[in-house]
Amino acid sequence: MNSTVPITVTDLELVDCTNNKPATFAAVYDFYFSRVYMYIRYRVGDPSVADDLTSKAFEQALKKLDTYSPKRAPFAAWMFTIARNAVNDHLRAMRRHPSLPFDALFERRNNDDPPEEMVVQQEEKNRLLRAVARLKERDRELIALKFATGLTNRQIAEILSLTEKNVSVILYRAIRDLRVHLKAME
Amino acid sequence: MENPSLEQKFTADVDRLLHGEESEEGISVPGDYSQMLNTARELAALDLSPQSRIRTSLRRRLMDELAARKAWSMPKGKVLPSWFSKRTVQLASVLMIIAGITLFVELSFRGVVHSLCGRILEFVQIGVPTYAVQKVPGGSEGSSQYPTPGANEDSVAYWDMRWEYITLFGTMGTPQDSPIGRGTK
Repeated sequence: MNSTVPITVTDLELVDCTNNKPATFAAVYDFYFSRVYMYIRYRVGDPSVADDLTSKAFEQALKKLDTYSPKRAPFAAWMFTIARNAVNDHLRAMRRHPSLPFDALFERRNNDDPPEEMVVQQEEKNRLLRAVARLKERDRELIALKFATGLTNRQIAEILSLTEKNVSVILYRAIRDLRVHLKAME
Repeated sequence: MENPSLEQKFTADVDRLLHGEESEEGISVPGDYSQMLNTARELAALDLSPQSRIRTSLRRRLMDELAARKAWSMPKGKVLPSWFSKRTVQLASVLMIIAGITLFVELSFRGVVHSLCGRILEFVQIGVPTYAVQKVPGGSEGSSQYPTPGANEDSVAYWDMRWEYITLFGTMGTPQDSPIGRGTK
């Protein structure tokens, strides 16, 4: 999906962002929006919360753009670290003030329901997301980083402070557990 | 524990899936391996970003913010030195030290500053001595807001003396032998 899209913005071009070039930032936004949104959606489930957190992540990125240095980390890793912090803050707050259970968020319906065939497709997607939601937090995060961000295993390992081998093991087990949850939901 | 090579093969296969390629044949895999790859394929194809309701509005808002930032930024060619933005803590420390020194100097020479202010105030007061040209009959309450000299004192003479005192000693304090001192005792 997203990771098959060729990267049009290089880290060196991003330095221009620090000079407040709107065109460059627009390219960054267009390239990263889906990936950031999907990463957050995998982790929080609720679309409106994902919208809020995506908004927060991009606002933070714009605010801190001056501090980004291509020498220290690739832009993607920097961007998803910001998104990750936004999600972690949110989850921490949710643990302090619990509201709806994570699973129940997928049951909520929008007022403007889509047509019949889209509902079926949507149901399939929701089934998958519901199964992801039943995974352990660490597994869910790894799946989010692996399938939404397009980061390499090395970059994922750096973000999660793991080794590449650990990333492979956790990914394998997470998908295996996901299969179990999907079977149980049939 | 699982065979590490199987997990590495799975990760490599997932990477190929994410790049739109198919998995390669290699080591023998367990029966549910292909099902796991199917699940990975479903995840790789999952794109919920069209469900987002903020994509356009957020883009517009961020662009406006960036445009506003550009409008308020320094003129072209005049850029703040990089250490200015990167060493804010050090900069804040230097500013605090300067503020501390200023405060110290102000407190040390407080008497001089105080006296100078006093002179100015006295001069301003003398500039409009509305009662100074009037004789205060009986020497008690006058209509002025200024201190009333003693009963038998001449106001003009009092202000002359006071001005002399200020010029000589540089303070606005009341001298022991001033008309006020005598008058109030």
